[in-house]
Amino acid sequence: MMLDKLSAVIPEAYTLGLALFWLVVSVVRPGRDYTRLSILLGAVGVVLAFQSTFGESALGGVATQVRFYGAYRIDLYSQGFKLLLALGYLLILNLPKSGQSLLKTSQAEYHFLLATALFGMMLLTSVYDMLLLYLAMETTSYSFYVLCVLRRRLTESTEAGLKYVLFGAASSAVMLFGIGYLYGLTGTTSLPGVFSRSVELGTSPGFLFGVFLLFAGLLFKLSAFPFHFWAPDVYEGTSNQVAAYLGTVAKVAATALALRIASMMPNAPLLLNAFLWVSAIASMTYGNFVAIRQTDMKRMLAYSGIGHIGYILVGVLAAINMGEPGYTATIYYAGMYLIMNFAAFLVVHACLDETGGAQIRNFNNLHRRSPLLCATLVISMFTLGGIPPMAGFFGKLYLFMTAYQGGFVWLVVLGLLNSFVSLYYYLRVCKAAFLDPGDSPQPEIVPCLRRSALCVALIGYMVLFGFFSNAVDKYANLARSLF
Amino acid sequence: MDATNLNILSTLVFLPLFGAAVVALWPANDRSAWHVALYFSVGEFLLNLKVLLGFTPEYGGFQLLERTEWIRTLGVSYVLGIDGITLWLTLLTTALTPIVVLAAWGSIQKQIRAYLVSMLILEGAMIGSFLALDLILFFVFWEMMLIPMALLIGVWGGPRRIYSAVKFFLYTAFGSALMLVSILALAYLNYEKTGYLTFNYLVLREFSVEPGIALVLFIGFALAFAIKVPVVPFHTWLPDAHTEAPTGGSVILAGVLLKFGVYGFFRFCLPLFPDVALRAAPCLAGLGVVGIVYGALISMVQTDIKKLVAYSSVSHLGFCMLGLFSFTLEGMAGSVYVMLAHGVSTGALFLLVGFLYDRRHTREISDFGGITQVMPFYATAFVFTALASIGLPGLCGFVGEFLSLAGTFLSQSLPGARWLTAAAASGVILSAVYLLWMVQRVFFGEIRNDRNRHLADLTTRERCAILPLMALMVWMGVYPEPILSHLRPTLESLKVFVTIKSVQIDAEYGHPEPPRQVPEPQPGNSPEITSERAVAYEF
Repeated sequence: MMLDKLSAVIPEAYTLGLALFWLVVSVVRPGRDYTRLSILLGAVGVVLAFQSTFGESALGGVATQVRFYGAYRIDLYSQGFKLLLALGYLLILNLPKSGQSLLKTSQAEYHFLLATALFGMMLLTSVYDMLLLYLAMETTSYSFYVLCVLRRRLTESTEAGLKYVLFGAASSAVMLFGIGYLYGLTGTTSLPGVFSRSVELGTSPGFLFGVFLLFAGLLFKLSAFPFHFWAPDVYEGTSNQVAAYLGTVAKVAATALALRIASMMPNAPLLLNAFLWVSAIASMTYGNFVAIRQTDMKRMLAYSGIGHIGYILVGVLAAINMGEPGYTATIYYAGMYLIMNFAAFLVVHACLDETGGAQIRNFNNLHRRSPLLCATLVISMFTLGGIPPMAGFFGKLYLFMTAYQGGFVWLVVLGLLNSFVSLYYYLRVCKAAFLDPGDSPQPEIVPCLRRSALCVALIGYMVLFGFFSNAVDKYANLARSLF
Repeated sequence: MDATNLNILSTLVFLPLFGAAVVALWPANDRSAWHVALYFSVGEFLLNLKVLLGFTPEYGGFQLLERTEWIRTLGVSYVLGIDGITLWLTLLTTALTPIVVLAAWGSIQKQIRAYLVSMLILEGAMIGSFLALDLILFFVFWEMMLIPMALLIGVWGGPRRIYSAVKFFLYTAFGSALMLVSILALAYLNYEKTGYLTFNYLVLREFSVEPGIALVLFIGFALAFAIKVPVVPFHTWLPDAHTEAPTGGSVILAGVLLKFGVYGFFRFCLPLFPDVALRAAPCLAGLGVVGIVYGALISMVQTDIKKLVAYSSVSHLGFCMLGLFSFTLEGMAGSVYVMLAHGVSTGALFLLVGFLYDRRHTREISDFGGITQVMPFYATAFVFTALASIGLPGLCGFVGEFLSLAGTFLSQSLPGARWLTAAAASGVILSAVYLLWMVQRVFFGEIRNDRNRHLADLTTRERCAILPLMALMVWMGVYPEPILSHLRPTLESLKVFVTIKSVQIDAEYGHPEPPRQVPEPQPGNSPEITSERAVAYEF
C-alpha cells in the first residue's frame, strides 16, 4: 500500500534523492568533474518520468488523484510536464562546464542546486494548495539565487545574483501577500477551495487584489512585462548553463503553473482577461523591440524570451476563454519553446564559453568554424522566428488560431506583426553566423561528439516536428486531464 | 487517372527536396555533387513533362488532385492539384532550374554544394507553392522559399549582398505576416458559417465573405502578392536583390519568384474575393501601367547592365497586372503568357549578363563596347534575347504583350481602358529604347577598353545553357497555340466562377449603388459570353 502511494510520485522522489546524493558528494568529494555521472543519473530521471507518464496503460497513463491531504494533484498534465522538465534538465547537463563558466570546486554544488531547482519545479506542476505553491516556488527560487552566483569571482555574476535575489524576494513577498488575502477571504489554502468561491466573491476588491498579486508573482517567474526587469541582467551575468536553465526549463514550469491555476478559476475570463491582454501585448512588443538593439547574444535571448512569453500569455488567454484547445496550444508551444531556445543556448555556450563575452559578433564566420553549430544556430533562429516549415511556425500557428477563435483578433494581428519584427534580430544573428566575414581571429571551436549528436537531434526536431503536427492531439490528452 | 500518375504531383514536389538531401549528404567531391544535382533537376523536368502528358487540356478545373489529412485538429489538409496556369508555371520552374544548375559550375566559386542544395530546396518550395491547394500548405511552401533565396543572395551575392538579402527577406516576410492573418480570418469566417474548420482552398473558394470584411482580407492577401510582383510602390527590394544575387539566383528570382505575386492574384485574390477584386481592378491595373512606364524609364538611365534588366522586370510584370485586371480572357491569357515569356527571356538575359560578369567582373555599361568583335556567339545570343524581351513579333515577348494590351483594350470592366492601353503600349517602345541602347553601347562600335580584347567566347557548357532558352523563345513566339490551348479552359472557368460569385455576393449582400465598372452578366448567360469572347481571343 505504501509502495503504491509512492509510485505516483516517483519522479519527484527520485529528483529529491538525486539532490541529496549530490549534496553528499559535494561534501565528500568536491572538485571533480561529474558530467558523465550526472548525465547518466539525469537520463534515469527522464526514464522514470516517462514511465510515470505513459506507463500502466498505453492510452492515457496516470489516473488523476489528489494526494497529501489535498495539496498535491497528480494527473497526466502534471506528469507530462514533469517529463518535459526532466528532459530539459538532462539537456542542460549537456552544456559542459569549463573553468570560466563555473568554478571547478563548485561542480557538485552545481549539480545539487540544479536538482533541487528541478524538484521545486516538479512540485509546481502539481500544486493544489497555496502553501505548497509558495514552498515549491521558494525551493525553485532559492536554488536559482545560488546558481546565479556560482561564478562568484566574477563581478557580473555577483551583480546578477544580487539583482535576482532582490527582485525575486520582493516578488515572493508580493505573492505571499496575495495568498494571504485569498486565505483571509475564503478561509482555506486549497486552490480549488479558494477558486470555487471566486464566482460569489466575484469582483470584490480584496479578491481581485489577491488574484492580481498571485499572478504578479507568477508573471515575475515568467519574466513577462511589467515584471521582466531582472531577466536581461541575470542572463548576461550568470553562467550559460544557468541562463539556459532559467530561460527554458524555469519558464516551462511557470507556464505549467499558470495554466493549472487558470484551469481552476471558473470566472477567469472576467478576472484576468484585461490584465493578461495588456501583459501579453506589452511583453511581445517590448521584448521584440528592445531585442533589436541588443549586441549581446544572451541579452538578446532574454528579450526574445520576454517576447515569447507574450505569445505564451496569448495562449493562456486562449486557454481561459476557449478551454481545451487553448490549453493544448499553450502546452504544445511551451514544449517547443523549451527545445528551440535550448538549441540557441547550446550554440551560445559552444561558441562563447571560453571567451566570456557573448557578443553577437563572436558568431562571425561560424559556418567556416563549425558548420553543424552554424546550422543549429540558424535553424533555431528560424524556429524561434516562426518561419515555416520549422516546428516553431506550427506552434505559433496553433496558438494564434485558438486565440483568433477566442475572439482576440487584434492580439493575433499584433502577435503576427511582432513575430515579423522578431525576424529582424533573429536574422541579424544568422547574418553574423553565415554572412559576416570574421575580421578578427576567432577562438577555435573544439569538436565534441556528444554536442554534435545533440545538434543533429535538435535540428531533426526543429525541422521535422512541424510535419508531424498531428502530435497536437496527444497534447490534448494532457489538457483534458486538467479538469 | 491511371495508376502511373498516382501521387505524381507529390513526387514532383518532393523530388527536388530529396535531391537536395542527397547532394548535401552524398560523400563525393564537388563535381559529382554537381552532376547529381543536374540529374535531379533534369529528372524533375522530365517528370513535369509527364504531368503535361497526363493533363487533360479540355478541362478547366484542378486535375491530378491529391488530398489527405495532415493536421486534423487545425483543419489543415494536404491538397495538391494542377490547372492550366500552374501547369505552365511549374514547367517554367523545372525548365529553368537545370539551366541554372548547369550554369553554376565555374561561376560559383565557393561552397558549390551548399549552393546546389539551396537551389534544389528552392525548386521544391516553388513547385510546392504552385501546386498547394490548402492555404496553410501554400503558406508553408511560400515562406519556405524565402530561406534558400535569402541565402543565395546573402552568401553568393555581390558586394552589398547582406543588405539586399535582409531587405528581401524582411519585405517579403512582412507581407506574409498579414497574409497569414487573412488566411486565419477567412478560415474562421467559414467555420462560423459552416461549423467546419478547414483551410482547403477548394472549399473556401465557395465561401463568400461579406464585402466589408472581404476588403480587409483582400488587402492582407494583395499586399503580400503586390510586394512579390512587385507593384510599384513596393518594388524597392527588387533592384537590390536582383543586382546582388548570383547569376542563378537572379534567374530564378526573375524567372519564377516574381510570378508568385501575379499567381497569387490569380489563384487567391480573384476567386476568394471576386467582388472586391473587381472593384480594386482599376486601381491595380493603374498601378500596373505605372509600373510599366516607371520601370522602363528607370531602366533607361541605369549604368549597370544587371540593374537595367532588373528594372525591366518591374516594367514587364506591369503587363501581367494589367492583363489580369482587364478581366478579359485575352488579357488574362496575355498575363500568364507574359509571365512565361518574361521567365524565359529575362532569365536568359540574367544568365548572359552573368557570363559576361564571370569574365570581366564588372557590369558597368561604360566598361564595354565592341564586344561583338571578340565574342560573336555571345553577342548574337544577347541581341536575340534582348529582342525577345522587347517583344519583337516572332519571339516570345510579343505574344504575351499583345494579348495583354488587346485584352485591356477590349475590357469593359476597366474605366478608361483605352487610355490605359495607350499608356501601357508606350512601355513597349520604351523597352526597345533602353535595351537596344544598352546593346548598342555594349556590343557595337570600337573596342575602347583594352581588357576586353581577349575575352573568350562562350564555352560549350554555357552554350548548352543558353541555346534551349533561345529555342524556347522562338517556339513561344511562333507557335503559342499549345500553351494557349491548355490555358484557355482554366481561364474560362476562372472567369465564369468569378463573375457568378461576384454577382451572387452582390445579390446576397445587396449593394445600394453597384459600381458601374462591374460587368453584370446573369449567371445563366455567362457561358455564352465567354465562348463569344473566346472567338475574339483565338485571333
